[in-house]
Amino acid sequence: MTGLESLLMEFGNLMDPRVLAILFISTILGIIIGALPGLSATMGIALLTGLTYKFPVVYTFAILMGVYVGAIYGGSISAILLNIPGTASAAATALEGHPLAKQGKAESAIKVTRAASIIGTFIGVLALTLITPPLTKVALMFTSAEYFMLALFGVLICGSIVSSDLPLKGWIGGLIGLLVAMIGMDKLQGASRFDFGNTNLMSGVSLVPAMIGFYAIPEVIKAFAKSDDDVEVGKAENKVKEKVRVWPLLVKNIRVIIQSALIGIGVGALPGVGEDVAAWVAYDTAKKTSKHPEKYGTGCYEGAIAPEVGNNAAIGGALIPMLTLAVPGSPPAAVLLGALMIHNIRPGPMLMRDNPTFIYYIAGLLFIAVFILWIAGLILAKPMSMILKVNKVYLMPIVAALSIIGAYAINNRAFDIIIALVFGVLGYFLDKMKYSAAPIVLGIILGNMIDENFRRALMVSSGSYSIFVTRPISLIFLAIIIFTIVRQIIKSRKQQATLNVTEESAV
Amino acid sequence: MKKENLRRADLIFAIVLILLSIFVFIKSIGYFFNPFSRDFALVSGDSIKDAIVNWNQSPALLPLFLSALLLLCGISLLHIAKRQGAKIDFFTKEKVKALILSRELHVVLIVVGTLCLYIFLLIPLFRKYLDLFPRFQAFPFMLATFVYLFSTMVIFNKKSFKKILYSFITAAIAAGLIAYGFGIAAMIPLP
Repeated sequence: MTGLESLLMEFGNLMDPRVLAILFISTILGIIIGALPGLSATMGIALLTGLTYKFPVVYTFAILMGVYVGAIYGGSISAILLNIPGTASAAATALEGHPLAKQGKAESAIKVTRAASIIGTFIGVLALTLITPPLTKVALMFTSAEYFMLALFGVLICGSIVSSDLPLKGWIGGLIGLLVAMIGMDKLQGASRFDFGNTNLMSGVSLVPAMIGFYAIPEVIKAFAKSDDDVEVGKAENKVKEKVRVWPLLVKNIRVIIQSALIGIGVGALPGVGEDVAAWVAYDTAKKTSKHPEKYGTGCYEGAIAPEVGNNAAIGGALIPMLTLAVPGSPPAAVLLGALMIHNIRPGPMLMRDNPTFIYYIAGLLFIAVFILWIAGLILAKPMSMILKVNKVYLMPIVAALSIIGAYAINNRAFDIIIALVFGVLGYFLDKMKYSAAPIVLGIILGNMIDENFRRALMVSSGSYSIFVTRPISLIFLAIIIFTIVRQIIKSRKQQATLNVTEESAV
Repeated sequence: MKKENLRRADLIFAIVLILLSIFVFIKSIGYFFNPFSRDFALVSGDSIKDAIVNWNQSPALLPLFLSALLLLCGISLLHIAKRQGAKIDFFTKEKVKALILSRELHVVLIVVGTLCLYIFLLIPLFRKYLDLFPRFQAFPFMLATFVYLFSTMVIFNKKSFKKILYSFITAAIAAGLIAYGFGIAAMIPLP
């Protein structure tokens, strides 16, 4: 059966009214989650992974994919109306979207970003459908040495890119995540490490409770720590008479759309980097290559289209390495990977053998979600200004209670609630010190893969480290790792030197 | 966080990382020679020899590398923080007082405190004493959730009768929906 036939067959299976209804409701839920500042796509998926654990796989992934697609788009609504991006991936959209709203063009801005999101998601899913099946065949050539290097590359590259302060903090985050992954029984010999005599820790730190902790609880604390009394919610309507024809406008910006979609897919496919960085890179590139860069920041549609296409295309991009190599391309994809594992679906090169239709099932779901996103976006555009007025004082305690249920539900284990709480508090303090959660979570996810493949590769080579440099793919990954580290160190030194010169001249 | 405070925090965290890396290193050495954490008196010379010969199979191998890398990162962070002017000068009376009086610390303590009360006190206590309806197993959890939601909403909301009433209604509806929706409709096990 060809890929297209498989995809069409999955479309047929997904035409079940219950699946469509679930996908529709979850996309609406995703848009609301994405739009509400403080709730993110990753948090929504992490919570729902726990809460949907008992559901059949078909419904579970309809829910998770709907929320994923909806939330990445939803962030742009609050970015336009409030100037507060609902998700970090919509931060670049706020730079153009909010000035447009201030000019009285909120409705047009929402329409344009909605269409851009739909196109971005569509192109991303198209890439997922076309690239993933052949890539699984390439991944079959990977041995332990390549897997070790790939996973290490993932943690380090993610740490380098997502860190908002020092790149070193990204690497430290990755190392902390890897250390957390070392807790519990090792897969090769069954020796229990760092369990401190606690039997609950012998099976390791549960992934989903840890992710709920990292992504949900710090947001609850942060929401109460800052006051939002002064936030003014604009209405999703045009105050000036302006008839924006959305599709001709998008055709006019076709170069930006294609460029941003390719950036989104590429950045999305980088391990752990994801939608946030994709949006910024797409925006920055659009500005640099624009004929009118001076218009950026003043409310130009081109600048609002680029990040929305970029962050939504990153959805498909992030799922490519997740499905083919079991290395997630973004934080939401990392949670999805956890969801796959608890539903006994093992992503990676064997996926096409063990579950040959699964990739097409996910692609089919996403294609339908694109269409639903369009309808749901239309329905929610007007009432969204009302939804955004929901006070966090009422919302965040409910999120905290749902986190507790989500953490408990997977293993029916009270200890998992403690894990969520401990990681929540740890995540809050690390966030305060500008440590991104993404490399830590990626470290936890990839830790066992690194450990197992590192030792397996050394066993095969009878203890010789040359195995990591004599295999071409492994060598390429090693070269990129060294290049990334050296480049970051040189960059930091240059920045420090500039800082010193500035300080000296100020004195 | 201001940059100077951030670097101070980095300084402390760097020390924590260095100590953590030393701890992991020591534990890993233990796992290297005694991977199954037996009593050290029972570890024979032969098994130590085996551990050295088969070093590449040891479960302590990666933790050892990680501890070394973490030590390196901790030292680098310490160096950066010190180079950017961070000093251990925050244990003064004024700074400790300012920290204790900060709103953010209060918020952290309240959120974590209420969550701990909810998890360790309310849920077990209500499960033990208020399991009144055998056909509605979610009842104790619903009550515990209501108490948690209502108290958190009241603590962080403005103290007016209207707001308290809103909090009461919202907490009651949310607790009911959560317990019914997840506990009964979706049959998800509740704590």
